[in-house]
Amino acid sequence: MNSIHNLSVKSKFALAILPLIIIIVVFDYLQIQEHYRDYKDSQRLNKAILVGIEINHAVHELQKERSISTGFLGQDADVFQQTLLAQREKTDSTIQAFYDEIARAELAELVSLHTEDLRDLSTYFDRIEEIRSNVDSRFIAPNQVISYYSEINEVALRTVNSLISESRNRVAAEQVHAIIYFLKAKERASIERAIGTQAFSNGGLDDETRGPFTSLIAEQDAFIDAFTTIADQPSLVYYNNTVSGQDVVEVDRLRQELIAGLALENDANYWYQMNTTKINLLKKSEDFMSVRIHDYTEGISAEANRSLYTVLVVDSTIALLTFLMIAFIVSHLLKDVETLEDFTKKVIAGDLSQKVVIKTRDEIGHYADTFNLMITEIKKSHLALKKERDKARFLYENIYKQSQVVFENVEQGIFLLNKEHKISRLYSRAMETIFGTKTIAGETLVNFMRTLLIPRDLEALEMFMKHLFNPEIDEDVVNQLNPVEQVKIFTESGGMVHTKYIRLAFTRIENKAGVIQQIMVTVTDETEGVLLQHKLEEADEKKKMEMEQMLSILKIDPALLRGFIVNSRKVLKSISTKYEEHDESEGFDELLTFTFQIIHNLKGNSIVIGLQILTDRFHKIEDAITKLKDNAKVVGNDFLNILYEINEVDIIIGNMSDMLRKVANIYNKFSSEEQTDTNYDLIDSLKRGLSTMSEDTGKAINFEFTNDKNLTIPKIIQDPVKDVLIQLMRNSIAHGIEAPNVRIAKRKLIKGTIAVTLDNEDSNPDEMIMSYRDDGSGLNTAQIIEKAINKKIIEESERDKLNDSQVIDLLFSDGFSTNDEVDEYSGRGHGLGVIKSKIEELHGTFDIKFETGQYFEMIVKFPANIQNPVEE
Amino acid sequence: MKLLIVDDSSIMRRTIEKNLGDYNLEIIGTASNGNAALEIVKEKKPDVITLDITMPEMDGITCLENIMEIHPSAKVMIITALSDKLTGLKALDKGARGFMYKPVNAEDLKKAFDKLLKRQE
Repeated sequence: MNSIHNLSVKSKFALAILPLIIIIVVFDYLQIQEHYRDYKDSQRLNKAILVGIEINHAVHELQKERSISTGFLGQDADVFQQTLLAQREKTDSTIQAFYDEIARAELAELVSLHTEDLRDLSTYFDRIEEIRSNVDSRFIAPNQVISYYSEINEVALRTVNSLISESRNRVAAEQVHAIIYFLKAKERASIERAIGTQAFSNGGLDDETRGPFTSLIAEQDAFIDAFTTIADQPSLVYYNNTVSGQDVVEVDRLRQELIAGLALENDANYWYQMNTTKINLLKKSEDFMSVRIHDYTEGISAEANRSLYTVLVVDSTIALLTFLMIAFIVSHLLKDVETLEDFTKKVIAGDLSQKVVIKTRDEIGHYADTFNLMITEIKKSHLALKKERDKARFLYENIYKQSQVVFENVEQGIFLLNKEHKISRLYSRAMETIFGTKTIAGETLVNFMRTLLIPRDLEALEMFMKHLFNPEIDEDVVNQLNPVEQVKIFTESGGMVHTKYIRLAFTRIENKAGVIQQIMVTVTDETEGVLLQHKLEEADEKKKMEMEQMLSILKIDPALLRGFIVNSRKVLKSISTKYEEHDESEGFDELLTFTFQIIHNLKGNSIVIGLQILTDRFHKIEDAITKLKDNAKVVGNDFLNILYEINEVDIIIGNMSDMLRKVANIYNKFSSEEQTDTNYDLIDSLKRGLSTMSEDTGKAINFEFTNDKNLTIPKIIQDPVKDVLIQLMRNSIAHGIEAPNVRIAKRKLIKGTIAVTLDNEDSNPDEMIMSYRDDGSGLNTAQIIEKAINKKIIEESERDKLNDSQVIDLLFSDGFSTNDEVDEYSGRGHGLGVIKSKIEELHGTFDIKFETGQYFEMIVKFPANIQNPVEE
Repeated sequence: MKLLIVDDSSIMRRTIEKNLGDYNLEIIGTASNGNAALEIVKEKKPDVITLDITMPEMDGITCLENIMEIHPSAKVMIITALSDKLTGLKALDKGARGFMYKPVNAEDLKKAFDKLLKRQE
């Protein structure tokens, strides 16, 4: 069944009409065959009748010969002798005509069908000669002759019967039978003539013959009756009109005479003549009928022939027309179907511009209409859809472009994370700038950050991502635990490594049903902010420190501070003055030494009064000068740097001065107490300076001040005095007073003592005598000499030639220091040089006493009424 | 709803108690360490638990693990002074559903509980 489904419509149609075609062909074939058979049949019948006629002619002549022979054998031999010979010739010619007829080619088929009958007949025909010779020699009885001839005729008639009785045509068959009956009757009449001829020759019928003769007549009548029953009207009319008249009645009268056994008035010849006349009439009727049946069969044949051709032509025409009709319908139908199919293909290919045109109004036509309607609808919805699509595309492109613009220009890094925690294809351009890479999209965030974070933070980020997508935990709760809220990363660009501070913020993106679809991540580069913050913090710290330091000056005795400020500004100014007067060709050594002494002294003062901020500054300047002094060649620019630093300090001191003035103004407004000179500030600052220094060095020291006469050092010279004392204290701490463990070993008190005594001589009250004494190790003369030799201050040869006074002088020489470590308090070998110059400033003198391992003492004498210290 | 407060600091416990008193929560107990907390969880099956992380004897994460084993439907709010985010994330991993940094104030506490209970309803 499937193979039929798969056939094309054409083949299906062909398959459908195939049985019809077969039926038509078979039907035509059967009909033609039938007609052809009729035709053949009628032709054969026609030929059979022709043969039959020839046989009947022979039979007729044989009948005549039989009667003549019978007559010859009777009493009147002479009468019949001549007639007999003529008759025999006639008979032979008819037999010959029969043979000629059956020898014809067109009768071969018929002859072959009846070979046996015809051979039988020939055998009988051949026996005629034997009978004739018997007749001639009179060795035969008349009855025997009749019997012989009758036998031949019987066979001949049977042959005719067999030949023509095969007709399928009822009318022809009836007429053939009528003729057969007629021939049988005629044969009886002929026998009757022969028997009668003999009887007349013999003077009447003998008893033996009478019976058969009577039954012969009866048979004759019976056959004529049968003939009249089935013969057609024209044959019957012809028969009745022909076989009648005087002769026929005369035969009947002669026959009655014979049967009655009456005395015979007429001779045998008369009988023979009368009967022959009658038989000739019969023969006439027979010929009429023969021609008639022949004509009829010929008509049938022609008719059969005609109808055969008619059927052939008509049926073929009908078959052809049917085929053409079906072919036309099918092809027309298929054309429409093909049109539809082609059109459908076009529609499938997207061409909606045409309509299918099918003119037929059958189902396919309706289908085409429906199809066109459908196309119109499709066109409509297609158009609507296109509009919607265009609208959507317009919106999409606009939104896309806008978001592109935003993404190109926004300063934040923005991207989306999908459920696999992977970075979206679309991300803002800033991402590349922030991270310094272009391989961003498609990577998971954890992988992307892998090189930027420490493992612990990576682990946290991984966990954090998981909970960002966990709908059971509130977004804010998760975001509290953002491990990349602020991350310090290092990125490389242009061969430079940059430190960046970035912030990553996460926002869930949920659909309408509240299911988390994606996470939006914003990355902010907070480097500037963070660095600014750091700087602000630093600046804040610095400011706070400076403020503290500034405030710390409030703790300092205002008089001391004022003194320090005035002194500092004055001496700092002297440096620049000296520089301006300086001749570069003389080198920088002297200028550097001068500057160093001033700075060193200021450092000592700032330590004493507790100005840490300035102490640090001065120390730095000292470092810079030391470096320069070590340089082989110093140029002006190098010194300018020093001056610059000094200027900075000058500004700070200026600020302090301003502040102090303001404070003083405030103070003045609250207090009107008279200012008097006291030693209090001096001693207080010395105590504080000492305590700072002793704490820093870890050496505990007592400070004792003795002023039995309650003398006051004039304010104006308090600063140089203090300078001297501070320098001495620094020396004591650095070189004199031993470390606690050394003091214990020497059986000294752990705490060292520095004692300052102020006194004068009653005789000279204008001169102050200030003694400074520590209980340290005194001076190690051997060490001092050794060092002086090392420092190339004295020659080796002078080693043993120096007395104590000369050794002390060494201490005051430039570049001498006995301590190996350099710190804020000592160690640059300039301390005693400063003391010396300060005492000179005071217009004073000094004297040193010591006992190695026990004490060191300096006694300074200076005028108490001095108005202005010496300025250098 | 039944609330259990777990914190080794009595001040903290009192702060939470005081601020959640009118929150339609019935405070069924307080515990100053993990073991005590687990006893109460076993016995009273609190609906909501506030849990400190830094505690003596048993740390908050271990305590949380045990709570989840005994009573998996408990809603646990971590309240900690520990600024380490990895520990906080681990707590979420173990089943905590709320998180707060100390010190806490009344407003933050109420907001956090609003979220915790709404999420879990």
